[in-house]
Amino acid sequence: MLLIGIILGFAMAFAIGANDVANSMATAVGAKAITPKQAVFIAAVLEFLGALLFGSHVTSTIMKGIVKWEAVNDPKILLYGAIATLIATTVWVLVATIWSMPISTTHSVVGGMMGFGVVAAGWSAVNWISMLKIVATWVISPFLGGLISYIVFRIITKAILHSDKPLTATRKYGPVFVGATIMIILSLFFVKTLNWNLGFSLLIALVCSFGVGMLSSLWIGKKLKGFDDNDYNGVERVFRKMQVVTSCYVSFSHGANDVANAIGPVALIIAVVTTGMASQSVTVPTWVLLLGGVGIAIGVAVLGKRVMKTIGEDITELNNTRGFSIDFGAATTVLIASVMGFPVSTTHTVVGSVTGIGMARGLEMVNVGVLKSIVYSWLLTVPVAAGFSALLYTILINVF
Amino acid sequence: MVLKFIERLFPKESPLKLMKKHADIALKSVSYLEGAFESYFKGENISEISDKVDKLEQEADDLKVEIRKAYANLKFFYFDRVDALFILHEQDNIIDAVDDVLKMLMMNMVVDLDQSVIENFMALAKIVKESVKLMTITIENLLKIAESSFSEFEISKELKEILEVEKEESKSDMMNVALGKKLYSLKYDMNAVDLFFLQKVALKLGKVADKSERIVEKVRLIIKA
Repeated sequence: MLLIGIILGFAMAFAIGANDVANSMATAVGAKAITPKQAVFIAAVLEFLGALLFGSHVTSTIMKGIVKWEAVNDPKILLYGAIATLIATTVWVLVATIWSMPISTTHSVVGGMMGFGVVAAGWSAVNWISMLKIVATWVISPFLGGLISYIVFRIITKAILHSDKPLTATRKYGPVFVGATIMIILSLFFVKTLNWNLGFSLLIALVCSFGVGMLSSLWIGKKLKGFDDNDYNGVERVFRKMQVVTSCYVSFSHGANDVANAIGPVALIIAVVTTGMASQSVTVPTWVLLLGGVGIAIGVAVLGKRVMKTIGEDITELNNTRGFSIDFGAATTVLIASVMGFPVSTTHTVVGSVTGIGMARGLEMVNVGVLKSIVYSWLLTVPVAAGFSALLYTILINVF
Repeated sequence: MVLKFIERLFPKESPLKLMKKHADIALKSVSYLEGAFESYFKGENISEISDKVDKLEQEADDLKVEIRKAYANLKFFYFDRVDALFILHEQDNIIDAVDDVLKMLMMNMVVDLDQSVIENFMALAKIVKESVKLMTITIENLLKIAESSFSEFEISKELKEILEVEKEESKSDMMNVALGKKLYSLKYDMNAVDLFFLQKVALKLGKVADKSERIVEKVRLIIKA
């Protein structure tokens, strides 16, 4: 049973890596900041790191936060439930891929866990307070992504694009953005993953981000040689490369949040097999995070390049300052959600970020018809995944 | 799959880029005028040139449909779509005006025309072409202005181009008056029908420069808003 769970979890991680790598890297590839090959390599490494360093929080939520262990008497129920969830999610994601529906893997897993819980032990088996919080974050995350992207873009507009000397302003503020990215990642890592004291964490993060900022300042200065100080093209050129930084950030955040979709159920299986119905104090083993991270990385490496090549050819040219703002907003939102243990949809957060830029009059963006399909997919995914998982669970528990 | 979905949030090609393509078609059609007048005043057939402009008109119409469709689907724009569609409409009118001029020339052949009148017509055609060329540049710059989030520096560059178009339009007005005066000075020597015909052609030609000016005026309003 454990082996089956591990294989399924790995397969799920592989699929996540292959499909979703484009989310993070496509804006940078589309802007020709990096090649598809480089994108695949960077994404593989960062998805793995994100999964390993931050993945435990959301994995813990999937593992213990949706179905109440105390409501379930038999460990077999949890085992079969986890397997049913994995199979149901994988199949639903495949079907949706074929039908080109923009569903969320995250929503599917959460729905799957809820589905088997209800069938196995009734409505009271589901931790509805936790579910309510999770659903609330599904609504909040696109708005937060949009808000952060809007603010970042307005800052770029005011501080750089509208300044008398845009290139001088880029030299001044570009490193600040790079430093801010490092600051966010490091402070969250120190506080939430290493459990360091807040003040100390912020201090170390500040020192590191300052150092990185200084280095990026030198690099930016080099990139801008030869451009007239008023030249807007110079600004875009710098942001093209800075977009690589934010694409890395999105990759990292995506790994942190989405690894749980694959290994949350696996972690549940392992916990039940190793400790019985034991305790709420069960933590996510590091090797499970490694398994998920490696699965995602291999998925990226094996199939991601083909996806990236297609994306690189087809993608609408997103202006670099916009791409940067979108990536920053989405990545920050997903990472914050990850450290708070909330499984959110990276896709929907990115859509929120894109909308935020549109509202800042930064983009020409398509309409309601496409946005409507997000809402429909939101409404459809959880019940479908829950129903399918419940059905599979019933079959498994009766047959085996 | 997922990214292809996010891709669907954006138009396949920026409507502003499509507008630039449409402006290029307008410039291409106007570029045929000098050659058409040269052939006309030599007494040659210009139907081949007219056919080429007809094809350009068709191409422009197809592009217009694409642009309107894109704007109908857009939720967010760089600026008001009403202004964008106004520019599109005026660009279309430029191509229509060129087509009208060529059709008019095909209807009536005026022979033994005074050399100074011919020179004035050629000069007017050149000025009109220049005004449309500068108009095309302002449309091209509009995308850059939008992408720079309407930065003051890019706007100031655009305003200089707009001034140049207005100068050309002013030149075309003066040329039109000069041409009109020249024609009417020949009223005792020329057939009255031919005189009115040529004056009508000159006015139609002048309208092309007027439309270029209306377009850049709209661009000025957009960037100053």
